[in-house]
Amino acid sequence: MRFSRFLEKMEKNQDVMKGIGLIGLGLLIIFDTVWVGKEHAHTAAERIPAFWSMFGLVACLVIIIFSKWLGHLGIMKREDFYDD
Amino acid sequence: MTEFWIHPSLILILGAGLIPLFKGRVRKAWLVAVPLLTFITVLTLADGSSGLVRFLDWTLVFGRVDALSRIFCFIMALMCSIGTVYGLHVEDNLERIASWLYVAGSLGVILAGDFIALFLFWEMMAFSSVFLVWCRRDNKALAAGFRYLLVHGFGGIVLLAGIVFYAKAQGGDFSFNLLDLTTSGIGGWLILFGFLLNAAVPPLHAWLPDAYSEGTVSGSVFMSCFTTKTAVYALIRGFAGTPILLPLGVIMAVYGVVYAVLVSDARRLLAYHIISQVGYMVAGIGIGTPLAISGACAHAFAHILYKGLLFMGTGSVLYMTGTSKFTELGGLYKKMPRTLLFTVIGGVSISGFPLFSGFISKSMIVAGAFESHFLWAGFLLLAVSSGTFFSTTLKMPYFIWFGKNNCSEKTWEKAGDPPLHMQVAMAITSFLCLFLGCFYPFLYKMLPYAVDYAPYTRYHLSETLQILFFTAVGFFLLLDMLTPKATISIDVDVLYRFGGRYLLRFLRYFFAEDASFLRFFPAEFIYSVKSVSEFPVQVAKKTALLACWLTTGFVPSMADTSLDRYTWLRRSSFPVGLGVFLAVSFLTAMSILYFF
Repeated sequence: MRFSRFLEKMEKNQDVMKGIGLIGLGLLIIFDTVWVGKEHAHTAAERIPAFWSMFGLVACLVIIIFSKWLGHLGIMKREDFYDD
Repeated sequence: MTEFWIHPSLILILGAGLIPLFKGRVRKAWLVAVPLLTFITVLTLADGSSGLVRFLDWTLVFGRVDALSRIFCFIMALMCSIGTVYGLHVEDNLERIASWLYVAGSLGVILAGDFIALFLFWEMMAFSSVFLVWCRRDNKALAAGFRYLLVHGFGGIVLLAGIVFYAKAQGGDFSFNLLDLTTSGIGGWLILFGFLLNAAVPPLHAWLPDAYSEGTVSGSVFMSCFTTKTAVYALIRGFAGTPILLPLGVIMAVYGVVYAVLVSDARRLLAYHIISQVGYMVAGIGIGTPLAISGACAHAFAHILYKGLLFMGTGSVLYMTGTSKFTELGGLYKKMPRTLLFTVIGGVSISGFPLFSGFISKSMIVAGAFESHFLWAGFLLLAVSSGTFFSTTLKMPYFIWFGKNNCSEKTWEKAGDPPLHMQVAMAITSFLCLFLGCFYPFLYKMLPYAVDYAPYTRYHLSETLQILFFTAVGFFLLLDMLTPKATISIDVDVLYRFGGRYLLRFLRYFFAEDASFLRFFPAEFIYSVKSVSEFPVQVAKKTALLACWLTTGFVPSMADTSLDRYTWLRRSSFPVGLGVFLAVSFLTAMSILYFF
């Protein structure tokens, strides 16, 4: 099937994919600073260029690290925890 | 009732009753036709109150149709058709009947104009959906089903108590409209509690991941769509604009996302994301502005489709490979590419990616929060959308279809795209997710409040794309941390899972003839205490025996003493009697409290 061959190619050329991804991120930030009017912003902070990029990155990192920290506090148990 | 009016639930109930009569192709045709007929009936519902039934002193309203109930009925009936197509392979009639009765309950709640009709269908949902768990027919599912039933039984009783108190305060008026918590007294609060339990608001949420991860492949597709969204409807109808719902909703949104990071089972992960997404809706209801309420409706609509799709995708993996655990999957893209595609479409829809349904619905609630100056809520909900994207679109597909191949040889052998009808159901749902995201006026026109909201502004696009793409950066940075481990994450259900076990152990010891709970203590201690304790123990024992005899007609001291205690307990009618005894004691206590 074509779709799975496409995925296979993606997996083989991971460096190319990474490159495309990074270029995409760069373009996104340029798009945000040059093209997007900030009159819809809810707060002053959002006028900082690439504010939402930082927000997304920080949110993701905080959620993962906070959850893992909670998990290691005692929420994560062995799979047979409930067995008699 | 002058005109001829058919309740859509009635079609499903009758249809479900007739399923066992058909076999083979006729049965399949029946399974497709009945939900479609229900859907068509829903489309033809005219505004107003129909289906009035005189019962004792009341007139029950079974068919209140307005914009709010119409949009919910529309999506529920549509999802019933899709879910049934997805489950066409299921030979088990019980599962099919249960799923239709469940949807019938859901439609019944949505169309109910008074609390009596609402309660009737509310309980019908609980008692039919539990079979969707039990039909998996293994011990874990059996236990999870019982827990689910106990929690919902409790929720139902609280709701009923609330309804009775509330109606008494209203002078016997059972009609179901917007409640005012400041004047409704305890009744209003109890009703809210019952609704919140079904909406899975922490700490009343643990039933959801517990049952949904144990349900059958197609059963969980149904469950993921109906219970919580029916509760959302009930909250909109009864408690729109109640301030406490905003913080509760935001807590739900965060809670679900945090737990989703920890779990290592795909369907459990999705179950926690239901809590998270319903959190958005509850928050929207709490904000209470027309934009936020319409946002909650739109999001419920979109949510039913993409969550159904996600459960269909992971259900296909479970169906084909026999597991949904990340620790036993990986690298499956060569084997199940189409399932991957459909699941990712569900994933981008739930994360609110532009062109997909979540983008046009979720943002209404966030915009509603900012518009009403709840900045903290707006920012937290946006942060949660980062977590949603990360879990459902990156983590879950990555560890099932890419990443390290943890498949056993057997799993790898069995893996492959699921049967055609499952793919068709997923393709239809995927199309609908895309359709809603692109042609959003279709959905906006159905909303109960007309809204002037344009999702595709340059600012909103830039904001969303930045958040989502940089979430992906974060994901790849922390990929090592996320390697799935064979663990489970305990939730508040640990309280009743262990609490129940200890209660049972305690009761067994206490009610056993020689009060063997004393076995816990050292012998010397018992001898010294025995003479003193003899008297109260004897009194307690005799009282217990008397109560036992009164409630079950069974005298434990006459039981065959050669049997060990547990066999004796199992053989006697005792456990049922105990329930009756507790109920009678409770009722006695309540009547004493009430009369004096």
